[in-house]
Amino acid sequence: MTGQLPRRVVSRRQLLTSAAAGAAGLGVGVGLGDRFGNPGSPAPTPVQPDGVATRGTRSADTSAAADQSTGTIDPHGAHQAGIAQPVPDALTLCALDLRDGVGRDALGRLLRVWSEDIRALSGGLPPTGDPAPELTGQPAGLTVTVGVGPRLVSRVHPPGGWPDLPSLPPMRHDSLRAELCGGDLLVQVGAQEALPVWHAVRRLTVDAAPFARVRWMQRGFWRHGAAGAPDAVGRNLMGQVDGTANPVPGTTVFDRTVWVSDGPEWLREGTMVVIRRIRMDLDAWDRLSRPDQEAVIGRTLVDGAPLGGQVGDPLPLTARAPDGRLVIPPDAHARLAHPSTNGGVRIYRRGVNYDDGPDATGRPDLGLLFVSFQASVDRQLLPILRRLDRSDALNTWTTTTASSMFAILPGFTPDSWLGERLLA
Amino acid sequence: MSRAWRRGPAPRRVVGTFLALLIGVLGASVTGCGTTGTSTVTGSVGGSPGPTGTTQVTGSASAVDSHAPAVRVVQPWVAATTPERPTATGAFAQLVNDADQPARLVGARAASAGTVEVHETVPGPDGPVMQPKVGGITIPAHGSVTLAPGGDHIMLMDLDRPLQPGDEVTLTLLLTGDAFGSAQVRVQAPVKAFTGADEHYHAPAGTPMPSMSSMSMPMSTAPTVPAES
Repeated sequence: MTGQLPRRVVSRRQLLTSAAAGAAGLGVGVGLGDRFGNPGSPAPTPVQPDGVATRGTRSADTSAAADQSTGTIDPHGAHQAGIAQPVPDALTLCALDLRDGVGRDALGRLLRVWSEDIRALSGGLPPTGDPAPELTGQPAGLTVTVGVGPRLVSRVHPPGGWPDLPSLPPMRHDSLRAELCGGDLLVQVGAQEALPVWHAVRRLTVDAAPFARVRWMQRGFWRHGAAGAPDAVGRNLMGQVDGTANPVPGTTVFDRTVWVSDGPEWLREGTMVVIRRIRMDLDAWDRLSRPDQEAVIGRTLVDGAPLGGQVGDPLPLTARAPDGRLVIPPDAHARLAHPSTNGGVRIYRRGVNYDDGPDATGRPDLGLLFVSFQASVDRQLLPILRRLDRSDALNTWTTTTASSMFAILPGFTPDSWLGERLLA
Repeated sequence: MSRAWRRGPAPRRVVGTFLALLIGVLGASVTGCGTTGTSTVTGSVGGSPGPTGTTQVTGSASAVDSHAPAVRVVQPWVAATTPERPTATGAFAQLVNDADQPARLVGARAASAGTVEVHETVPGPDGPVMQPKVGGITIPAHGSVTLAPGGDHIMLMDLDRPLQPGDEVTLTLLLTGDAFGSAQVRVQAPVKAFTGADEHYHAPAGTPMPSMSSMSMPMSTAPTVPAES
């Protein structure tokens, strides 16, 4: 069914984008900007003055959440989509390696193809050349986020080069599987439903095939609690409320934490992402008593409140029990990850649960796909990781089995394409 | 510039049956056009000449009512050429006609193609066959047609270079219709790999493809990019 949208100056790319009114019947009759209304405005969420959520609440209001679950997210903007949006229920991370002989020109063609694919997929349209366009349905809040790895950046050699650590140094508790680490390109695809995520990953990897082969794929899932509930941010597979004290999109703290504002021009308004596959030994974890589990984290399981505090309280890092012991144990995960323990640095976490079934020895391979966005891995994430590696009580039950770092490209507009400034 | 299309007897092209089974319906519909009356969207016909940008609209302005609905070109694309056939390929799009009268796609031009024809795919004695569509492709009033592999499409031939995924082709579609007379619509069409393509051009006598039973399902081997110097 066709609709009449107010017309403004559009290029071919905008024509394609404006074709997303469509069969799903999503709000025909609104302008292009309204169509891709980005649910970025933060909810009336109780926040500390520094913009950090004090309760486990969603970072977008209910109507925006509904928009994400049934509708479209505009892929265009200063920043890519898929970062400021809440953690989706289905998330796939896919790394690709460039084929031999793929240089700047070919990479530009791939990124232009992907830019068009992302426009179509985000709007609920099949990308051109899709042999099964019937698989396209409601996009369910689909977002696609594209990053580049250090080897690709060195191949392209833009001014300023790679802006961060060449790689994360190995941590003592890591047991890394090389085939799940690294890559030249990253696509992060998320939506409220699994099939749109699958379809987008399929189209993007097929369209990339002349240029790059898939290196690894890691799939995860999440579920938010009820809006306003203490566990609205969701829970990991240990049952812990996971995402409390995360910077809130739309706040100054978030912007300063996440977006690159200095450094190489090709990365401005982009960010850096680190993906760590944190495998959990749930069989051993389940043998702990509940109070012991809570002491490992420093928060209660039922609602994520800090030990010795209420939901929404800041972590009482200096509080002591009558017997003189710290209420939040010295090796509690929440203490060691806290900004004030790490010189004030923050990260923005957007991880999902994973369960890939038993490994070759029959043990479950499950845990957390830890996804962290920050302007600088070196300045913001590395100090936290080092401290956790040295002292975290949680290390007894977790092992990181893969670790990757990518530079997330700045956003693109209807008249530009992803990575245009990288290849300028 | 030579005519982009020609009438009369034309070589028959034979299409693999696998391709013939793929009638890609690109589906989604599009916005209306020209409602503000200020300018015409690129990629459509009707209304005053469009804004700056990569596309233009030209036509018999006198026959055009600036508020008349138009023919819109949605999601144009061109299939990448293959090493086996580097000089010809198909161009596709959804053509949407908002007018009260039918319109027709009667031809097209592309700078990189020496010959461009509007083709249909019809059953042949030994499998589907591509051939020029006499009279062009009719786009019903308040309807649309989808040019897709295995169906009606625009054939680009005598290409001056192979087309690789990510290239762009400037396509000019030649349209006629009672609502607007005749007009040209220029669009930028991205080149995409399409692994379902399996067609061969044969001599004018039209050598048929091997029979279905002798043809194995083509596996999609990803076309690779030639190494850059």
